[in-house]
Amino acid sequence: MSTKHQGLTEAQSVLKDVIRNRGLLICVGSGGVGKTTTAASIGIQAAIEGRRVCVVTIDPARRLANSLGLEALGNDERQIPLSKFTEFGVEPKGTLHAMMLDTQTTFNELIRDVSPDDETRERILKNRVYMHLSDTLSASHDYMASEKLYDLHNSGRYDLVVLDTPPMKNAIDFLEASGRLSRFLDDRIVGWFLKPHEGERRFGLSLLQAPGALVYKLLGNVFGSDFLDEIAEFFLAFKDLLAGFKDRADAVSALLRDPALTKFVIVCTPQSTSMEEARYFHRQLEERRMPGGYFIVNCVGRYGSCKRDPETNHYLVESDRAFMRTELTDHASPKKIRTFTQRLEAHFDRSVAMARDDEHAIAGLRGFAGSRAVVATIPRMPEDIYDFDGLLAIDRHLFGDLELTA
Amino acid sequence: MLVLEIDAPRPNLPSYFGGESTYQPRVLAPRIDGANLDFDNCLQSYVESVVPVKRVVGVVLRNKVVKIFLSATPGARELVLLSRIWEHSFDPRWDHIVVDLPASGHAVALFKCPSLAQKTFARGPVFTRAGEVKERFSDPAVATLLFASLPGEMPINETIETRSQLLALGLPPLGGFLLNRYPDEVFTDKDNELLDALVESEAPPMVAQAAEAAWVVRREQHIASEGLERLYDEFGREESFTLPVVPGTHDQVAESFSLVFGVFVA
Repeated sequence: MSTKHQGLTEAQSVLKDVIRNRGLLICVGSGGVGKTTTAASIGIQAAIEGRRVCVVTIDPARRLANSLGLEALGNDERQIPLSKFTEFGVEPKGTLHAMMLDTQTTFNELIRDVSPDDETRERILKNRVYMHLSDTLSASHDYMASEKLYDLHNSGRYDLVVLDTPPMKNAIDFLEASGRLSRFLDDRIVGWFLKPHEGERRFGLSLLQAPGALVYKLLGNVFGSDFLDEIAEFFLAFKDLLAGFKDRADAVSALLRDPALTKFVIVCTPQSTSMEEARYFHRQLEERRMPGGYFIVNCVGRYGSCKRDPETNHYLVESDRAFMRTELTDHASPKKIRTFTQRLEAHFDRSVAMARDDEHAIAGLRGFAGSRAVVATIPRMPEDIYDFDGLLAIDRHLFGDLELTA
Repeated sequence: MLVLEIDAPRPNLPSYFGGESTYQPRVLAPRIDGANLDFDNCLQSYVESVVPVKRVVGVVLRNKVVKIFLSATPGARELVLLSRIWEHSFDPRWDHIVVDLPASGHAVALFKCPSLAQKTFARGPVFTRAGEVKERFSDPAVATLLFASLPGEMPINETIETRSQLLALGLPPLGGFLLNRYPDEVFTDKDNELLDALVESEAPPMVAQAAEAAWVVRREQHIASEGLERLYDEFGREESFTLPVVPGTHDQVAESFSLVFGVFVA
């Protein structure tokens, strides 16, 4: 249950509670809806409120770095300097770090952490299956993101970790990543692949007599028998690490499902495709019992509440047109002013109609999500948001007015 | 033409064309077929191509351990999906195949997959198929990659960065770009002068709002045209397009695009 903060909307109050009380906030949504901007804005606000925050991006693109004014981000957390905040008149009570996940480095670090000795570590790091596993392929990428989140969350260095995920399809992969690795490292699978190699007998009579031998042989046809040897070697080297790995994968999975620690924020725009994806993702979270229920609808049209004059059925009335004629008389001929006024009115009609469509779409989302879900909105901003100042402008919509130092 | 979605959990083609999403291509509209390549079916197609006896394929894929193993093997997903597109690319039913790829970073990972698979497997059927996929999709006479971007500093940066990553990878051959949601030019230069004067005036509320709405769209237009120039600098002007902002439902959007592209959408 959230505390209603004075002067804030329900959506602002709830999000404020989330950044004050949760340890992990994950932004998801389809492409181009403003996830990175939202994640960075939320991180800034949480730092202002006194939390030690780390914003993490999985996406290899440099959006997060750009928006926070950094040239680039790497696998190490980088602190956003205090001067960046004070430059815009805000004094953070906490700290803000950012990082971009480097799968290979994270995976190697993990192997170093869990390997019992140098020999095991080297054997794994040089195994071709491991190298394939740990490279930039999405499966390990997503797993490593969840692993890194877990690591950052448990490090004690941060009160809140904010994750900017890649677009929807890959965000679903992210949700499933820890489970998928657990399945890959399942004892039965490992045992099954190691069986032919027990007692140094490789593809000998014992294999052919064993149940599943035909399947094993056919897998050899599909992948090549060399690969099965490599897999077996990989599992052999990994055998002692399996329990630890599986425990960690299970712990990551539990963390993502813990409503006291984690919150998923679904970011979308009022466009129908984006809204449908948001609904889809909401259902996916519900099916997985992951704590969602907070939507941020970005780029919402601003003029939905404008009313037409009941007599003329226009938004602008004769006195408005008279004002424009007078005001603009020194700048253009009456004919040009008339043409301009007509274009302005036609454009405004369209803007209001689009804003009404947006309101309608948002109402539909509220109806779909039910009373337990919260829908916040960010209006269409007059400027492109790609810097710190722009992120603070977003914060004013998500959290209410900022406390300025100056 | 064949339009392919890749392992889409919530395929978009049915939203535009109606009907169900299917693995086997189906007619979406006259001259347009579509399909969603999901992993399970692609895997089956792949295994069938390597093990031609159907009953045997069934035995392999029904094995629970194998199923878990294959669905979890890193890289398997990417490779079997690419392999299926590769198969379709030989099908004489279609002159063109349009593939909706995943987001930039993941698309790069997808195209890294054949080389990585070759390193991992060293020889055998996967090695061979990875090589075939690489060869076919490196051929500029066969494949080209069209980048879709949105106007705005960050998406444009991302597009340019992704292009340089794929350029370094050498796969697939890179084509132009499609800049989506490119705002219409609503106002003339003279209009803009008048708009500036209006924005600076003490206008009545409704005039102020109308002027603000116009100013915002003009600003968006300016940002978009700057982005477009950056993309032209990077990609050149050939094979490069802009698409307008199209509000509305899937049906309305489909209808609008049918007008833009001159195709009939059922």
